[in-house]
Amino acid sequence: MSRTVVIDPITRLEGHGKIAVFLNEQGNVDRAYFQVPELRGFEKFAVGRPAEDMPQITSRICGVCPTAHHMASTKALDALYQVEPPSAAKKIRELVYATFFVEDHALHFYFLGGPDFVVGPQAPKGERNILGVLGKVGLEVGKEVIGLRREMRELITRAAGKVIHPVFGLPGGIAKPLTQEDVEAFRKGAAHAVEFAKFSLKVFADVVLANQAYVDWITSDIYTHKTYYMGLVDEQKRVNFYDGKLRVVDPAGREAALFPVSEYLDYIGEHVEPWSYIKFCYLKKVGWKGFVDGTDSGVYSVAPLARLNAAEGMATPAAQEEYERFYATLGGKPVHFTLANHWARLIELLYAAECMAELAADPEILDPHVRTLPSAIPAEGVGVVEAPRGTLIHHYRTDERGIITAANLIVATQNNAARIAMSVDKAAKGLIKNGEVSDGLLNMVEMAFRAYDPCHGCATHALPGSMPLIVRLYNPQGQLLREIRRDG
Amino acid sequence: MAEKPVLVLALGNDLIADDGLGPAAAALLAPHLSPQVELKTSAAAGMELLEELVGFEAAIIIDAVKTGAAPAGTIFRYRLEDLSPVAAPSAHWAGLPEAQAVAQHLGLPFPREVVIFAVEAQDLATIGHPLSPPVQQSLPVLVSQILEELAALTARSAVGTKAFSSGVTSMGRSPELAGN
Repeated sequence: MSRTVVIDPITRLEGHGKIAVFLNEQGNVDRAYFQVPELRGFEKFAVGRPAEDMPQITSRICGVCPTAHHMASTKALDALYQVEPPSAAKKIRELVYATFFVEDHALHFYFLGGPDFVVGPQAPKGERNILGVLGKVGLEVGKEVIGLRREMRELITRAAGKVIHPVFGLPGGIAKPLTQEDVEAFRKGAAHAVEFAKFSLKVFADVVLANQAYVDWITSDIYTHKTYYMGLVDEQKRVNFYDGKLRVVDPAGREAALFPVSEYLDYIGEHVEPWSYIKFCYLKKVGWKGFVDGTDSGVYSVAPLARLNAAEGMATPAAQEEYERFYATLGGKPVHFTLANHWARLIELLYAAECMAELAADPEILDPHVRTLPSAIPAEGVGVVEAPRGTLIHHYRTDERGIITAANLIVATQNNAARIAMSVDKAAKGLIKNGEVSDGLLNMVEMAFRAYDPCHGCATHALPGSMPLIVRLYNPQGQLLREIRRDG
Repeated sequence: MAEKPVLVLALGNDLIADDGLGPAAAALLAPHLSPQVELKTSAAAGMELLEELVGFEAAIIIDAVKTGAAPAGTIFRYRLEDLSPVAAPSAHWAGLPEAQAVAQHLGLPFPREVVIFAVEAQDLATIGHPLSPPVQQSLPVLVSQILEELAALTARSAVGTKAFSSGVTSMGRSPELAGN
């Protein structure tokens, strides 16, 4: 008898993810699918609008990482108008962007990843939440997270106008220079962020790495995939969130590609499956071979672990030390353990904080010349940044007046979609045997995709306390046999 | 305590079909709000809402939902305590009950009363579409229900305010003094 198990959120307010599990005649998993309902109509909505509106429009389609969309879009406009921003403008953009990373990564580790690791995968369900994390690390740390986040958000508001929807990026630069007072605030915030990142890495070492059971989870086969990895790198092939070339390494860690984002269509293909709205990105030169690991499969991954794997190191000293410790501890490059994303995220947190400090200390950041006026006739532009959740590409074509004729976005979760699907499939296979659905299934499957921090559309809200899930078991005729609910 | 004791927090994104419910309701409510009420709109989620809510005595939250259990345009009224207590986190952000729990644990002043008005949506995914007809049609009833709720909340929060501020009630303030 073949059956389908669907793990389906009953409202859209928290996560849009839906997991469908197809069982074979023996009641074992034939294939599990992770479905992401995407927002529809973006291309249509963009066509006919002035390109210079795009940094505002695209930041408004996402309530989670507006700064990433704003920045990718602004960079696409630089390319569209063939204009190079002045050095100070680039540095201020990068400073704002590093500040955004600090805020986002800090929140993810403590409030989202924390329940899996700080509290522990095996802890009772009632403790696997933010309050459990606070119980373990202390209320002071909770206040620190909230306080740090507020400070970072105030800094972004200072430089970028609005934190929810930044308004400072313009083709060829930014809207206003920084004042001495702004820079002082950034210096103070950066010092705070560096200290916080170092503390967080210590929490990770003390609570996670010192616990063999957690290390066994991280390195277990159920959460391992040997795929390609992609990320932005600077000229020395070190991790960069704001600019550089895209570098791809193969599952053995060898460089497979290094290209400017303007050539992305030569490297990144989009595969369509009948069961999902999402297009699965793959490496064109390797080819789509299905949802499989290995050098012959074009599946690749993005986000913190992938960025560390795709680079040769970190551009700041303390983060570089942590980078070396990471690979020494986990058995060399590349690391294929999906759950290592949480550790990699903290190393990036430290890098972002150090990056803030370096930029805020750079005298050039006070240069009032922050805009190069565009004069070229626009035609086509591609922009890229690393969003906290991975590589984000904006691509616009316009007429000679700068009115959009075509737009294409490749968002982080799309780059990661194939590997996320593989992780969910593997977790389901490990946890469903002979028709028996293990009690831990929902949690273990969720842990698999939470490590990637996937973005399920761009307007998630917050009403229920948790991601409500339904597991539905169907017979081959599509009749409902059984339903397991978790409403929060 | 906040200058204005009661918050109306309208959630949603007016670029995305029925997700625009919050902003649409906010626009209709704005001219009818008493000086004790602050109106905010936000497209954010989870812990971001913590920052919006802290400091108010009471709050009303407006949002679109997709429960699949009722026809589009159906209005739901919840109290925050009716929602699920703290459970496993979502895949992406913490939820409102978690934000409340964190605020309470950390000693932040969270509103004592939170009432949620939610409208069942038809389409929460199409960028650039307007509100669907059933959601659009729900607006006048939604707005009148919210105004009734606000009258009750404002009265109760004024009583609470009196206890804390030695007789100067927020009900007694003139609009000119209320600030923005």
